[in-house]
Formats: sequence, structure tokens, C-alpha cells
Amino acid sequence: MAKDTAGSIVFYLRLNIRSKEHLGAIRHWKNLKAAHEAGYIWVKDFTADQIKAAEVLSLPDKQMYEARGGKLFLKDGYLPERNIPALLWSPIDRALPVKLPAFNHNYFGIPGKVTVGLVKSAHEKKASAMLVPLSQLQKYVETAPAIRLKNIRWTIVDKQYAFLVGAPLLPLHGEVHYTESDFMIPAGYAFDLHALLSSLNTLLNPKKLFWIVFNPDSNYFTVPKAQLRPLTIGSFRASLNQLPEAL
Amino acid sequence: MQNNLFLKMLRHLRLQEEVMLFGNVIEISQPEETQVMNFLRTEYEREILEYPYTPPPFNPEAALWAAKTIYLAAQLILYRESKLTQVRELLGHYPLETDASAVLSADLCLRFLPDIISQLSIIDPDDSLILHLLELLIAWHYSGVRYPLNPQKINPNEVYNDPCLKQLYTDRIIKHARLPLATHPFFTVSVSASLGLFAADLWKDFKPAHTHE
Repeated sequence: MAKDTAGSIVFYLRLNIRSKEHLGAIRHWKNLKAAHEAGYIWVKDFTADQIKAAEVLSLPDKQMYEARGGKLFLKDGYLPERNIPALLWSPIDRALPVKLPAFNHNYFGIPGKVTVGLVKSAHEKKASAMLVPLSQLQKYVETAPAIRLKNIRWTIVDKQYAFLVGAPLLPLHGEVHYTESDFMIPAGYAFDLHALLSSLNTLLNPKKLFWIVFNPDSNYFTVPKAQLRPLTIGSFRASLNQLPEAL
Repeated sequence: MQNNLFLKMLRHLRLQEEVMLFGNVIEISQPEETQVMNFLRTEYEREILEYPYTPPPFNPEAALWAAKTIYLAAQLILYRESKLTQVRELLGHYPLETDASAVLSADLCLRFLPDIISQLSIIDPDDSLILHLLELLIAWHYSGVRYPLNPQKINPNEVYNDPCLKQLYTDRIIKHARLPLATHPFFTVSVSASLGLFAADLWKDFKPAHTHE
């Protein structure tokens, strides 16, 4: 942002006290100074860019001035309007203090709940699990090289999906997940409240015996970690023999 | 069953992977052979559960021939009374046509041949029995992947194009990291196909052949 290098023009802004709340939009600009006058609030020290910014232009009930030779001119005006007011200026965040609502620690009401969900994320993660239909897995496994199956552990979910864990994953079309503590989160998503991850794990999975597998729609199911077995052609065929309706 | 030393030795070999010999018994009777054949058939049926594609059927003649070869070769480690010419008669080549089913059935026992050869070369590296067993191993090179055979000498013919056998052969090459076999023109394509994109992670020393024309 280009600055007014000479710093010669000082902009002033006068706002009716009624519209005080609207100053919240520019309160974070630390270079501003503010002062109170009866019925008005004054703000000064805008840079040339700030004075043109939408946050300033959208303030209601305002009057903008520029100071020249000890007088205040209406902005872009030719005649002096008034003298520079002699006020007690203080940094804007101190002049307009923010009051936080007091938090009642003994209140465990409905607003105290949070919803955990997934949001889209462009963060790249290493895939470590996938969910594929059994019929697809069958086509691959029965002709698969042993070396690719060696690193994979698997279980059957819902009698029609295979849940594969390991790396490198098999070259199949399926829902890919990545691991974060005991959670399996679908690729392209992340928790919107990431800080709650460990508390959530303690709630859902106190003994850490499960993988908690999330779907993109924020539903989850659990897979006991002990249930995962090494994937071999034999283990796949034996499982399918017991599940004839799966395919 | 109690006195079937041939079966006892093979069962111990297959289950404990140790050779145990019960005296110098070279004659094998017909019922003993049948018992061994049945044992090997159940072993084969257990193994084909892990085989990719459609496994070929069990070949009893080849399995029995291989079992006898291993049994007699193991006998000859300890008891050597006959001369080499008699040994050659005892350990003859497989008299029938080889196919994928014969290769896989014979492998049930022949896979232990490399260990017998190494044992023999520890006792006497100049033993002429070693050369004879190596000849057998070169003919049945699927069972010899573990042994550093000269890849120039092996001859993978169309028998080894059976998809099940070829995948098993490839898996074995990768498992034992036999680079000379992996670069053999007959196997190099299937080895690179099995490793796929992850060749660098799964087998660091293997450089996939540039197959794009």
C-alpha cells in the first residue's frame, strides 16, 4: 500500500456518537487516534489509503476533513470549515474500549455445546487407509503381487466394503482417508475445530482400541484396531467364503 | 502309517522345516507312496488358497517324484554307500512332461533342495552329488529362486507363462531380492509391473526397465 510519503495531509473524521458502534470496523487500525467531543467522536491520522477504504466510506453520519494550515477543510473542499479541535487524543483501541460479555462458568446450558464436523481442506496429507467395495477389491486381490499386499491390513465393514489400512495403498478406486491420532479423515477434509481432536478422541475412544472413521458428511463409524488382519489372497478368499452374499 | 518313514520325514520337513532321518531306508513301498501323495495333496490344496489367479490342479506324479528326490538327497547327506553312477540312477530326472501344475506340485518339496545343496557343500564342496542336484535345480528353477543359480542357464519356457505360476515366480524373485533374475528378460516386465510406481520404496536396488516403446 502506497503511503502518503510526505505525510503532509492529516485527515480527520467526525462521527455522530449515535453511530459509535460502526467504528468497530476500523478499530483495529492501530495508527488511528480518537477523541470525544460533546455528541461526536473524532478520529484522525488516517493514511491516504485508509481514508479511501470501504470501511471508512461506509460509516454513516460522518464528516471527513483534511487539515491545512491549522484549519479543517471539508475533504476535497476549498474553504476552511472550522479550527482543529483541541481535544485529548488517545489510540483508538483505548478510546473505544471493548467490553467482553462475562462468562458464567457455572452455566452448562445448551449454548455451551459445540458441533464437530468436517470442512473442506486443501492441505496435503499422506493417505493411509481406504474404503473400497469388496467386489472391486476381489478383482485386484486375486491377481495381486504379494509385495503389494504385504503392507496392507484389512477388515470388512458393513458386509460390503473392505477397509484397508497401510501404505502404499492398493491401486483401487475408493474413498481414501488419512490418519490423525485415532481418526481416519477422508482426503480433502479436515476437522473444523481441530483443537477439540484430542478431547473428542478421549470421549469416543477412551481406551484407544478403535479407529474412528469419518465420512465426508461428518458421520463416523468405528473399527476395532484388533480386528484388522494382514491382507493375503488366502485371507480374502476365506472371508468371502463366509460372506457369500457380499458380492 | 507308524512305520512309514518316508511320510514321517516329509511331514516333519513340511511342518517343522527340518530334516529328520530314521535310518538308511532307500526302498519305498507302494502304500507308502500313496500316503505321501495324499499328504502332499492336502498340503497343495492348503497352499493354493494363497495362489493368485486360477491355480493349476495338483499333479501327483510330479509331487511324488519331488518328494522322493528330496528324501533320497537327504539320505545321501548322511549315508553314502553307493557310487555316483548309482546315485544318478537313484535321483533321475522327471520322466514326464513338465507343465505349470507339475512345477507347482513339485515345488512343495523341491523348495528345500537349495538347503540340502548348501548343507552338502558345507560337508564337502567338491562332492559330485552337488553338481547333480544343481542340474535338477536348474531344470526346476522355480524352486531354486533362493539359490544363486546362473540366470543364463535357466530356461523359462512357455510353461512359465501360466499367469498363476508367473505371478508366484515374480513374487518369489521380489521376496528374495534376486536382482539377476529380476533383470532376466523373461521376468523383468512382470517384476516392474508388480512393483508398480513404488519400485523405489519396495525394492531400492531394482531399476525398472524402460518398457515404453
